Amino acid sequence: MATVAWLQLRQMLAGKKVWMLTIFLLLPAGLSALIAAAGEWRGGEEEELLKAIYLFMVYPQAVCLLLALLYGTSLLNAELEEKTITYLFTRPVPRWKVFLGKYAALVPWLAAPSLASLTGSWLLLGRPGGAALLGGMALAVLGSVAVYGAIFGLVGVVFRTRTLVIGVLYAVIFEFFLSFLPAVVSALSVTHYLRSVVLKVTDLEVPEEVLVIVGNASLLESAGVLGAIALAAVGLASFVCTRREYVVAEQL
Amino acid sequence: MPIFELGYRHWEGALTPAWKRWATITRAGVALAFRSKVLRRLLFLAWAPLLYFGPLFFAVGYVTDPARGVRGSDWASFARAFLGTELANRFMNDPASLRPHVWSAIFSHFFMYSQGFLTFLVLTIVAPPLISQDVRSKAFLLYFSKPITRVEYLLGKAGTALFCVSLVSLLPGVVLYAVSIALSPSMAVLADTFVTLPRILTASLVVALPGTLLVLAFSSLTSDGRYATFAWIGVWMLGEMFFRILEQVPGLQGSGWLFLPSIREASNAVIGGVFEVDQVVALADRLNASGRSQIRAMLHSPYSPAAALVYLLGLAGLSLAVLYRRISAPMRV
Amino acid sequence: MPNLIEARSLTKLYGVVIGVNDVTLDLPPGVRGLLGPNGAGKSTFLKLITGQLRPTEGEVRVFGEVPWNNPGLFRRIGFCPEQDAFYDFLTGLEFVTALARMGGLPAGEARRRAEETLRRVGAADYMNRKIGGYSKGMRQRTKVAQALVHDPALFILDEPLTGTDPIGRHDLIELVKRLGAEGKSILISSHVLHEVQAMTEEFLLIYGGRVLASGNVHEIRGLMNEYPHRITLRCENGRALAHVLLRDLPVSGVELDEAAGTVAVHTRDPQGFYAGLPDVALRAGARIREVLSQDDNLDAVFRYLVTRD
Repeated sequence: MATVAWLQLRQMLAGKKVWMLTIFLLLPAGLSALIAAAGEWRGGEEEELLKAIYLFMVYPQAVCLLLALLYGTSLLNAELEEKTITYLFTRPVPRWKVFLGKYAALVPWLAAPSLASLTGSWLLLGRPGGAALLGGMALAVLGSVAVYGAIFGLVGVVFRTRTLVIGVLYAVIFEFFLSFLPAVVSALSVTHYLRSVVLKVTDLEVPEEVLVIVGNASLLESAGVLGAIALAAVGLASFVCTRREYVVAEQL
Repeated sequence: MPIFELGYRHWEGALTPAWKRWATITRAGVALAFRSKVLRRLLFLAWAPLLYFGPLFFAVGYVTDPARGVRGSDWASFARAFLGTELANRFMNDPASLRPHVWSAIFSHFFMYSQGFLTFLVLTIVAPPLISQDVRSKAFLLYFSKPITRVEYLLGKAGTALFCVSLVSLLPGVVLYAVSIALSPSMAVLADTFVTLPRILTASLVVALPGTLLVLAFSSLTSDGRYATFAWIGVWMLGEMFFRILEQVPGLQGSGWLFLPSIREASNAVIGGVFEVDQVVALADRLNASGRSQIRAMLHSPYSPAAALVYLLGLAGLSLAVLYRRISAPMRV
Repeated sequence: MPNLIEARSLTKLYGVVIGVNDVTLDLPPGVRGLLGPNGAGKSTFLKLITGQLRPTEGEVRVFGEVPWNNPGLFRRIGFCPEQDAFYDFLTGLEFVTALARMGGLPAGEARRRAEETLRRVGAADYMNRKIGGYSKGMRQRTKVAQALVHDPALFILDEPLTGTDPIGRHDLIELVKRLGAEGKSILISSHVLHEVQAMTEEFLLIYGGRVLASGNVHEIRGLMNEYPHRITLRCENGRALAHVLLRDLPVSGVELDEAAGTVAVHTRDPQGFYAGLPDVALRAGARIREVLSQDDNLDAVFRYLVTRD
């Protein structure tokens, strides 16, 4: 499994996806610099809250989600398209371990530069919320990468084609629409629990009407649900890839 | 008995003129794209907005017919719901001078929202594999071993995407115009609104061309269409998010360049300029007691159409440069 | 000796397309060619025995075990796939080492074995270069190396000679012969009959998803009595020889080409023919320069088997 993870890391380092990763992580930092140069928003605690919302929307909710979509859906599909999957599946390594090894490489690969970009943005914005907010956001980034990576890895295993479109549909419906509804249904989104993690770790003053939308699950509940989603997605993906046939298209 | 020659026979007839050859690439690309069930269903859905706008044009025509006393009718309410009460009442009193503006408002809404989003979807489905598949299969060797120039190749590929996009923007727009004429009280409406057709053409081009060239540029940069799709979706989603964030920053509000991250906002600004919606917005604002009309919220863009147009042209030009360079790559030593 | 591969009513369908059709066979250890034209079912059969596909009906066993979902079996199988697909960003050594490690070898041992295997296949000179810069022949050798590195008992090669240059083909053929001599079992899939015939005389002939024949080419040919053997004699005084051959030997037909100086004979009893030929030639006063058996080969056998239905 460690060799599979090493192979996956080398794969992600090679090729043009690295440029996309770099651009996707530099853009938010650039935006943060622009916002910092524009001066104060509203001052005081309201400014801290707005900057926290900004950091959350950009990092765990947008950039990490999109990067997990790109890399997660192609964990096995890229091997199938490149026809290298034969090498992985004709080795004395169970298929579920192959998938797990790839997922294990994906999480740190996305988390490390995301955390670096987040830290840069936090510094550029004048350290809003202090170390507690940075810590909370970092946990949310880690959670986002781990959970979305698992979900989109599952999407990539279950659906052979149109994985990006399906992933975007999931993101738009669950993570961008349902998660903002002030109703029980928002608990169906990963974002709901990521937001709760940030709220519990930091000491931001959030108005009651905003709290209804943002979510107020306990830290334990949030961590438990996020962990369960990731485990379930990885488990299901491992099961599916063990049972499924992967036929490489014959060369003409 | 003579022995017949069954070997290769050279074509003795006229060859297709060079300026038409790009159409072969477009035809092949369109045939391939239409194999997608998702695209066919989407093209079918693209006509759904006409179920709203068609009746809206009927309502707008119906309530201005002097032969009918319909100020209190459901159609009048429908027209008021879109235009706002004050503007709709003024329009019913003076239809001749206000008809071009009201039609402009409706068509600009049509292109800004429903057809703009459908264009994004169609480009997402059709365009990313157009060049990336050729990169993967090294098809450039096949293309450029025929008497086809790089410009013709680009025209052919762009033609594929633009054809599909025109089925959700230009064609429904033209049909809507025809329907609106047909549902108007008299043919005199044609004289009032003859500028609408060239505006429809221009708006379709604004909606389609920069996005098409951008996604083709992404397609030329990779051998895997998925990455081009992702880059296109990412530019749209992140761009839109960044735009909305920037609009909330007090120190940046009012800046004329805020639309830059959002292709949608830039396109809407240009569409608003093409249909001159600011005139009808200004009139509606004057008529509204609060000074800010309903139609302002729907159609007004605070950004300069000229600046947005320059931006979109620049984006198109940059995409074209990337495309040309990428297509030339196999021929560079 | 237990069978290497056992199949019982093995069938694989891709929707309504038949990949492998009701195949029952027992293959003992040894070097064997899997032969058939494109689309015959060779790759499907190989994917079934390497556990990449699951049978629609029937079953297949390799070393007595079912290969589907049985990764442990791959310690004993080395598979060299047909497709020219690699991790181009890795060097040949890194690639083979990584796959050796996935085979369970510790890091140091994996690297040592990778170097040794790459040397063995003649890829040592470029093993530290990125695979993306390799020629077709280099890539093929590297592909063979990854299948051999963990010293499998069964070595499966799918179209290994495709795209290789004559030197590469020769080297691979020699490698297969050496491995066979060392006691390895090898299954080579190909549609190029004469090249595989250079490696082994044991074959599995497959066509339309069905196995047409299995065994030694001469034995198979000997069983095909409905197709007389064609033997060409290059000689002087061919007319006189032909007359005597028809009279005295088990010959069903003769073709005389005086311009080319050949006599082609059709016989259903090649052993009887060869036994009597020297005596007949003496009596006819014919000086025989060359005896060619033109269809005691794989190409003829395959052609007859495919067309006889």
